Amino acid sequence: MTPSESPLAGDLARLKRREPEALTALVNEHSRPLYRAARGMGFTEDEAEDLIQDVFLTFLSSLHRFEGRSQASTWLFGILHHKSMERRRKRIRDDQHDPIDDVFESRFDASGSWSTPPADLLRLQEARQIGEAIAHCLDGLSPLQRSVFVLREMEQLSTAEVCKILDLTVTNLGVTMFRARNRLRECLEGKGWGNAE
Amino acid sequence: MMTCKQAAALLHSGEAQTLGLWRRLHLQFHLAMCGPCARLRRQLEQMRHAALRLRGTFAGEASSAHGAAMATRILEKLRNAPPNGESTP
Repeated sequence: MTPSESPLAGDLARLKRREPEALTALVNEHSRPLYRAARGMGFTEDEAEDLIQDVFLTFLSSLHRFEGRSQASTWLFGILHHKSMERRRKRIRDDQHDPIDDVFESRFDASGSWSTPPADLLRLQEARQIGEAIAHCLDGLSPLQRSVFVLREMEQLSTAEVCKILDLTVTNLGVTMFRARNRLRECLEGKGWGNAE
Repeated sequence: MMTCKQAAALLHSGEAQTLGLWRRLHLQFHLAMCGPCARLRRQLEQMRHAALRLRGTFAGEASSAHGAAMATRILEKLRNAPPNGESTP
């Protein structure tokens, strides 16, 4: 998503009054990116719709806290992240040890050189197959890793925006992204993706 | 000299894009000399492209008749919602 100044920032009073035009502008501007992100986070079409409906309702009920200081999209993506975490009902401890770190370690020898190098990419599979594979492998990420991957890689938000949305430091974002990419890559390699050797 | 493990960690974390000039040159030199790490970079690029294709699939859903109907249903819900909801992020 290309960051842009939201026209809603100066229009909070109209939203608070639930003026139809303001509500329509809100939904038209933000429902698609939110839907894409919700689908990327692993929710079905119906679940995604229900989730972003909940996001908009929460946004409207918390307008007094928004104050227009950040972009509406940042605030909305933050609510989406919190709501998705609530729905998954999982405790996230991504700052703790993650088994994927052991997998990463096992691929190198004591000198830091590859002991199990990545597979060669000599063959491109059909887009549909790759889509199916990555969709399946995304399910193996923790909700936080998935949010980071979706917002950074799929929605292409900046590091600063993602840190703000997910309330992470730049360092934590780097660690979480490291684990997300590593886990996805290992999963895809495990499916034989790109393995032509 | 940067090790493969250090290069792989930088590539996975995305920090390679924000490195200072000296470290970035070290990484580029390593990638030019090391086949497995260059393969890793290609894998990660291919993964990124696959993720963008998946995003395109979801964008298609959101732009379809389903997406339009969804926006209508959401608007209806918002218009009928009480002025002060109870939920918070």
